[in-house]
Amino acid sequence: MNRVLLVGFSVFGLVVALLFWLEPEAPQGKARPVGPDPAILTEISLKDFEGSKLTLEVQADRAEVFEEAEETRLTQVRGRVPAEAAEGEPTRFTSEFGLIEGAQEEVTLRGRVRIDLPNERQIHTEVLHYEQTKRLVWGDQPVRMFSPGEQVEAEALEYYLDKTVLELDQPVMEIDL
Amino acid sequence: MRVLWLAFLLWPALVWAQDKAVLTAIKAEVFKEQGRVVLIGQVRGRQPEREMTLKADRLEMLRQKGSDDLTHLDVKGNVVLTQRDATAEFDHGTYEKGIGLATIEGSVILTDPKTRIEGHRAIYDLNRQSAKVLAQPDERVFFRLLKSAQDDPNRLVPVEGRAKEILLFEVSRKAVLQQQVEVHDQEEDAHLTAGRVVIFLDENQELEEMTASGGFTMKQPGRDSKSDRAVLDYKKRLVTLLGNAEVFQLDEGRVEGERIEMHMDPEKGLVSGQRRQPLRIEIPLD
Repeated sequence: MNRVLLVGFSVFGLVVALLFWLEPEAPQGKARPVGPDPAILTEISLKDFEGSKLTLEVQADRAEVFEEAEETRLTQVRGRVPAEAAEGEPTRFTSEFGLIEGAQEEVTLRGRVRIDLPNERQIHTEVLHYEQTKRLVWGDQPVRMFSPGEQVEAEALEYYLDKTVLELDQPVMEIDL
Repeated sequence: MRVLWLAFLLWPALVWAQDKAVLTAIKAEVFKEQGRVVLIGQVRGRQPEREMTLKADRLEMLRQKGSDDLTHLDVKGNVVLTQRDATAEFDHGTYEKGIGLATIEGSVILTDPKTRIEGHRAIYDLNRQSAKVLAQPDERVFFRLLKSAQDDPNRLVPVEGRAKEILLFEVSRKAVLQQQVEVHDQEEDAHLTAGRVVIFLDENQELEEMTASGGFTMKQPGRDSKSDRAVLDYKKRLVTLLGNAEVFQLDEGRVEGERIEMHMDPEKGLVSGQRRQPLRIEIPLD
């Protein structure tokens, strides 16, 4: 009898472990906050200002707002970061999912992330982080960049918007000659 | 001398080629406003169509705003460029497409199976297809050219020497060695000095002729020669001394004249030649 129970518990443990491993990762890459249910919003538009200056604009088809955790989970995201100079071209972005962490002033984009930089330069990756306080865009996932005359694949990127220097790790660059 | 052309053409060719080049590095910095890309650390490049490879510590490319054409290339640090069997090594190179000028400097070493040139700085004018190789102020440019031996065309023997600067002319297949020129021909065991030496190569890149001016001297075992100018014909293996020519040959004496022709091989002696003044020959009596 004991042996049967032991086998039963073992099988149950394996099933639980299997279910745990098979659970799909949250699309925002982070577990949902515990607490009250989120407020659900559709066709949202969020804007962030420093003084009277627009620093970030985000739009999404759907948003889950976890007020206590200061988290907003977005789907079908698009947005723009205005250039530091008034006449400069903005940086635009789109992704399948987004996570805005208000406390950390961070935005994480996931799923078919595309960034359109000035000068017809595009960045494609799966995960991209934006730290608003540093005005830093970074990613540690493989990244592909297209621009007129060249295509670059890299392991990671770091881009300080105000320095206008995009840094790529382990780049493999194919240039048109 | 093929190596030099290849070496110079090598990395501007990154810009000329019709197809793509692949570059890798540890890190890239993209300055989007300036159209500038800098590759840093273990930069490697290849251009399969031209069988070219590049190694460097740093590569910088500048594109023209609007057209996105590459306008400027800059490579630095332990640069090694290869194209098939030709190699160029140097510390720093720049190429300005607008003026068609490529400059490489540092420890410049250009090699191919038949040529080696070592200098400090080289400038190549792509429009004129000519180059100048320079040395440090207190040094001279070294060169080595392998020619086919007379008795066995498959055996290569070196002609090497030094000069303050070497000019190379691609179209006319000639090299001009200027200032404090020294050349040593191992096969002939001949040591030449002059103010200026011009080397002509044939269509097979074989040494065809050398002309020397500005106080020519040639020392060979058993023979010393000097003149204002000289022509060394490697096909006929003849040396023509011109202007205040003087030859001293051991056991045969001294010959002076305005023009003296002689075999490259001292043992074969002099060749009769036209002379505006009679030859004066001193024959030792003992």
